[in-house]
Formats: sequence, structure tokens, C-alpha cells
Amino acid sequence: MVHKHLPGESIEQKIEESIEEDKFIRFLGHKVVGVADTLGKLTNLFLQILFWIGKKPIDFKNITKQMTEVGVNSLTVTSLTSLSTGMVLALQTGAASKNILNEPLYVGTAVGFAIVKELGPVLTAVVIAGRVGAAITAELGTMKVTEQIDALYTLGANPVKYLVVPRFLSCVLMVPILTIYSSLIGIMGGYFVSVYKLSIPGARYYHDIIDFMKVGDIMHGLIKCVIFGIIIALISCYKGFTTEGGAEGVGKATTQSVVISMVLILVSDTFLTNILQFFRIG
Amino acid sequence: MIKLIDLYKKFGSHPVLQGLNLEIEDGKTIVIIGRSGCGKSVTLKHIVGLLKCDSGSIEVDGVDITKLVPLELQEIQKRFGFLFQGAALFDSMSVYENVSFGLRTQNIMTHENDIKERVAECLRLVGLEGIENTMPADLSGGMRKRVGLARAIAAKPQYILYDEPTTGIDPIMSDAVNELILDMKQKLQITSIVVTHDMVSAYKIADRIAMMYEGKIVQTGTPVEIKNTDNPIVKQFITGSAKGPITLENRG
Repeated sequence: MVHKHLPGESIEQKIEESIEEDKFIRFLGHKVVGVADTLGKLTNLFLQILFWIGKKPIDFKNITKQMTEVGVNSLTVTSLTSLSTGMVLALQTGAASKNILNEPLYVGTAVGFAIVKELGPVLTAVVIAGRVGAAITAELGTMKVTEQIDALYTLGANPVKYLVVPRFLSCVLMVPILTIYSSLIGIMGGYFVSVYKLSIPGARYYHDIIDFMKVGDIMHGLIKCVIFGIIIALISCYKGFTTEGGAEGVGKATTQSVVISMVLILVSDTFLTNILQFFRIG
Repeated sequence: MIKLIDLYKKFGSHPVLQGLNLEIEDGKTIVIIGRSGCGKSVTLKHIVGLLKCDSGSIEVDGVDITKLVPLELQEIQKRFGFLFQGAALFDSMSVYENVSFGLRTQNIMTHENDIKERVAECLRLVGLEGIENTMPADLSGGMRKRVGLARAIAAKPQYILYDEPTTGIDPIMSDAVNELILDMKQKLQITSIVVTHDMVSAYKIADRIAMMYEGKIVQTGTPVEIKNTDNPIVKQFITGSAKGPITLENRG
């Protein structure tokens, strides 16, 4: 960068400025290289998972344990979130449609579509990222800093096969299953509000959903869930495996893992919706 | 026989190994001494393939392991037992599951009775009979190290690598660990590579001692040769003096 020599500006000032500029470019460069490096490592981890997933012997015991952790143990929290979401959706659409049309119309349609295509998948994934993603990163991170992951290697167990594959499989399978469940609960929440608060006949609410919903709409939600499951498993395992710096490092990695997963879920949802609509899925 | 030839390794911009050369003969115990952070543990991790060197080669029984693909490396790894600094026991598993872990993953034994027998035998060797059902969290530091050793020897490795086996345990227990290392050599004819900065332990167990400084081996010799060394760096380290060519700023 060429500087104009202004009167009163000393050579030292100029040198200092150019060093500052240099620092800024270096800082940018570091960031770009850092992001590219992380993306490369994530892809590598993903390929390793695909490589080990079908390799025998399949560790059913460990997989079942992880599935219980991801699925069964998350039932209460997903039930609560989706029930209240369904209820509040019905309340809001009911109120809005009353304001405009003087009576609550198509509450079932609004609640059903919002939940099946958007809120069910996203909310379930966010809850799982917070509950399960954090636990995965904390556990793997602790194993990393106490050299237990190195120990696995030296005892002939590949850490990706032994630790990541079961967690990956449970996330990818259990997030969609939990979403189906939580969507049903959410729709049920909407039903209660519609029938008992908005005085819509139950059959009307039911038909508002069934008459419009197609298989594609349900697929739309489920495809998203699978991708969200992959995001949660990949990020949380990667963050765990790259943890450094003792207890403090585990804490930091866990926070980062949850924040990154949640942001990625929400951001990728926009793109996924676009892509799925482009292919006319839902 | 393990040969380390001209190893170089950098972490970021920080050089750790800078042209390290070392030969380890079969059936002998070699002790690598050096200051904390000088790259001793890094060297051990290179030998088992946990870390990859930037350049140089590592020959295990004539095979250069730096050129192997992961699955081939896994086969070579079966010849090694590794005792980690903090024992690195799997804390979600009992002592029994820990010690038997390698036997199962490496398919050395499949019958539960054989495994049970082998685990009991290993625990007897380290002086901890009958603690199979204890969880690692309930063990003292010294016991954890010994369980770690039992786990390392369970699969009958050809080589055992010890990462600071006596650090963080009391003098009596550390002497017991030294006895164990000597025992392993005599009873099982295992080649041992021990990393430590505990000179008492080094003199007791070593056939050869190698002093590491600034990423290189500066001298190797028998314990007697090391004791009578003229090398100022080695002399300063073994006498434990703050004055000499090794300055405090040089810590890695």
C-alpha cells in the first residue's frame, strides 16, 4: 500500500501504520485458513464415519446405549417444548384470524403445517443439540484431555468407530423419530387450544390438517431432521475430539459445540427449505 | 528393535523434535530423560503412531511405520503397550472392563473364561488382586497407574512404553512401580521405553539412559556412563542444578 507523505507525518508513524495494515491482513488470512482447515477436518471426520459405519463387528450394545440417551431420555423435554409450541401457535393464529375474519379459520392448517415442516424439526434439533450435543462434546472432550482417546488407539480400538459411529447413528436415526413424536404432540397441543379455547369443533381442526397435508410435506420435515442430526453429531464429536486445555478447555468446547450446532441448524434450515421447495418436496 | 531416524516435528511454529536419533534394542530397558516439555512424551507417541512426524522415519522390527496406512499401522500397534501419564483408564468402565478391553478389540481372546483368567493374572502381576469390579474413580493415583500397567500388558505386547510412570505418586509407591518395570523385563522379556525426569527411578531400571535436550538426544549411555558424564548439559540435569547451559528460559 502506497502512502502519501503528509506534512507532519513522521517516518515512524508510517511504518507503524503499515505494520498495522500487515497485522490486519494476517488476521484475515488466519481466519480464512482457519475456517478452511476446520471444514477440511469436518469432511475428513465425515468420510471416516462413512468408512467405519459398515465395518464389522457392529457394536450393537454401544449403539443401543447411545440411542437410549439421545432418544428415550430426551422425550420429556421435547414433549414439553412441542406441546407448548403447538398451543401457542393455535392461540396466535386463532387470535389473528379472529381479528381479520371475525372467526378462527384454518387454525389446524396453520398449526399443522408450521409444526410438521418447520417448528417440529427445528425445535427438536435445537433441543437435542443443547441436551445431547453438549453431553457428547463434554464426554469426548474429557476423554481427549485425559488421554483416554489415545488409550483407545493403543488398545486397537479406532476412536471413530468406537466413539463417533454409535453417536452419529443415534443422532441421525433418533432426531427424525423424535421429530415425528414431537410433531404429533404439538398438533395435539393445538387441538386442545382450538377445541377448548377457540371453540373450533375437533373434526374441523382434524380436517383442516388432513385435507391439505401431503406426503411431501411430511418428507420435507423428515429430510431436514436427518441433516440436523448429521450436523449435531458431526459438530459435537469434532469439538470433543479437538478439545485441548484441561477442564477449562472442555467447558469452552462444550459451549462452542452447542452454539455452533444451533446456529448451523437455523441457518441451514433456510437453505434446506429453499432447496426442498426447488425440488418440489413439500 | 526400534530405530528412530532423524525425526522432526513442529507444533504450529514451535519445533519439538529437531533431528532425533535413537536405537532401542530388544529385551532392554531404555530411559529417556529430559526436562518437562522437551518432547519426551511426544517421542513416545510417535513410536506408537499416535502422532505423525514432519520428516524422518521410525522403524519397528524393520518396518518404517511412517509410511503405513492406518489399518496396517493398527496391526503394528498390537505389539505395543502404553502406560499413560495419568493412566488414562476409561472411567465409564470397571477395572475388569478396562484390563480386558484390548483383549476384546484385538480379538486375542474370545472366551469369557480365558479373558477372566488373563485379567486376574495381570492384576496379580501388578499386585492388585480382586479389584475387578471397582470403578477407576474409586482408586488412588498409584493404583490407577498399576491398573493402567495391567491393561498395557494384558495383550502380551512386545514393547511397553511408559510415560512418566512415577510422576505424581509417593516415593514408596514409585519404587514399587520401578520394581514392576524390572519384573516385566525379567518375567516377560519385554522391551521397555521409559520417559521420566525422576533420576532415582532412571538409575534403578535403565539398561541405557538417553538424555533429550532441545528436540535431540544429546547423549546415550549406561547409567554409570551417564553418572560420570563430561557433557555439561547432562551433568546439569542429573545433578539438578539451576545453573549451567540449560537456562530456565529454554523450557519448551
